[in-house]
Amino acid sequence: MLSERSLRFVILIGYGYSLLNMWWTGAMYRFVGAASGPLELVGGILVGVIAAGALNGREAESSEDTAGGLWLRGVLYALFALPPAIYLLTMYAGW
Amino acid sequence: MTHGTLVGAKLRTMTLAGLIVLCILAIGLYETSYAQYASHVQMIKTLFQSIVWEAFPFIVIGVALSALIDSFVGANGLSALLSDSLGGRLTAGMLGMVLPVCDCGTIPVARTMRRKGVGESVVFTFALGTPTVNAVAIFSTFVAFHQQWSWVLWRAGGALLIAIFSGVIVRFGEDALTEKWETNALPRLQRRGFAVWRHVANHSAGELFAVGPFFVASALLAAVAQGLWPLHTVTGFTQHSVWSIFLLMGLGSVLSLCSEADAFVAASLTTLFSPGAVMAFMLAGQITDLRNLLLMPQVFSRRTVTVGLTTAFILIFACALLVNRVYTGGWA
Repeated sequence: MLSERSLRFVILIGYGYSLLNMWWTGAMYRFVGAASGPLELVGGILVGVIAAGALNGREAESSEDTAGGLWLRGVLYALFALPPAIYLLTMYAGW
Repeated sequence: MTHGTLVGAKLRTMTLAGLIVLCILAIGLYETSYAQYASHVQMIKTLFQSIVWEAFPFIVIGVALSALIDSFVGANGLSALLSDSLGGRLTAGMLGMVLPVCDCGTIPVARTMRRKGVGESVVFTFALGTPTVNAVAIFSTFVAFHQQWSWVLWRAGGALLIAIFSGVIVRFGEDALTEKWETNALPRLQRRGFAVWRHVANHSAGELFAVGPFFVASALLAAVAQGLWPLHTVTGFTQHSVWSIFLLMGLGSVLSLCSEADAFVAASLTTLFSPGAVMAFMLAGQITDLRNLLLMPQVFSRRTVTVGLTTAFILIFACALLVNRVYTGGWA
């Protein structure tokens, strides 16, 4: 089972890869204007750096382990993972 | 994910889930064929991704700046600027231009300022103004509304005036306050070298995961509403100059979106709602939002929260009415 830190890393890398991929392939023009190109690049690099830095961190572990808290965290993680999941499924599975 | 921004998370998640379910039910009633359904799903997917991918870099930049400030800027220097005068209030309201923390980071900074002895009404002005009158939020509004300066000026100007005026109203009873905060210097964690940057990365990641899910859910809601809303049945209500304002003020307050991202959701609502309602969504989402309601009592007295936020609520409504008057030429 993935630890919370690994899960965060995977989701952040998903965002970083999606941003850089849509910038590199030009897929971003389907979603955002040309003026946002540099921002997408900066965002992609920055989120990658944050993911790498946070992977080694010791402060990210949560102490809320009640059933309700875990359920809520799961829902929030799933929600946050939705955009890169949709983008990558569209790109690689033609969904 | 233990973070201040998760205050009210259950209520906000349930509200969003409820709204999305309502939209899906509305789709079920609205659709007539599978082909139409499939094309609408594709449209929603594209709209959803447009909102998310346009706003996400701003969120990342915002949380990174917030983490850098948290790590490198002390409160002492800032507190010296914030005297109990009109100049001090103006500075407090505009501090976000050099200290671009979104509303997620405002309350911890406000708490630090109170501990450093800054007046309650001045800190209140800071807490109301900073999320909106800050460099990142202004730039994201400019991009979201297709380089239309009028939206930026209405939003930032409105928020600044509301913050200052609410602070002044709160100031009238401030002398009677018995509660005083201790002015001892806060112990700061001493980090050096790589540990500082690791802290910055951790802080950024924490804020991203605290803010991101609510942004994604509201982007989904906006995409569903924009793509499938049965326009002919609700336009009379959503374009009404008064009711539409109340509706989006309520929605903005409950969603409590990050100020760096809400402009993109708001911009996607402009085709459905009156301009004043969209402005009210952006102002209420940062000033009278659920998160502020739950977090502010940790920093301010009950009287300040009640009087200040009630004043702000009335001013937001007045500002939204004025926006409708300017953009549509009518009051109702």
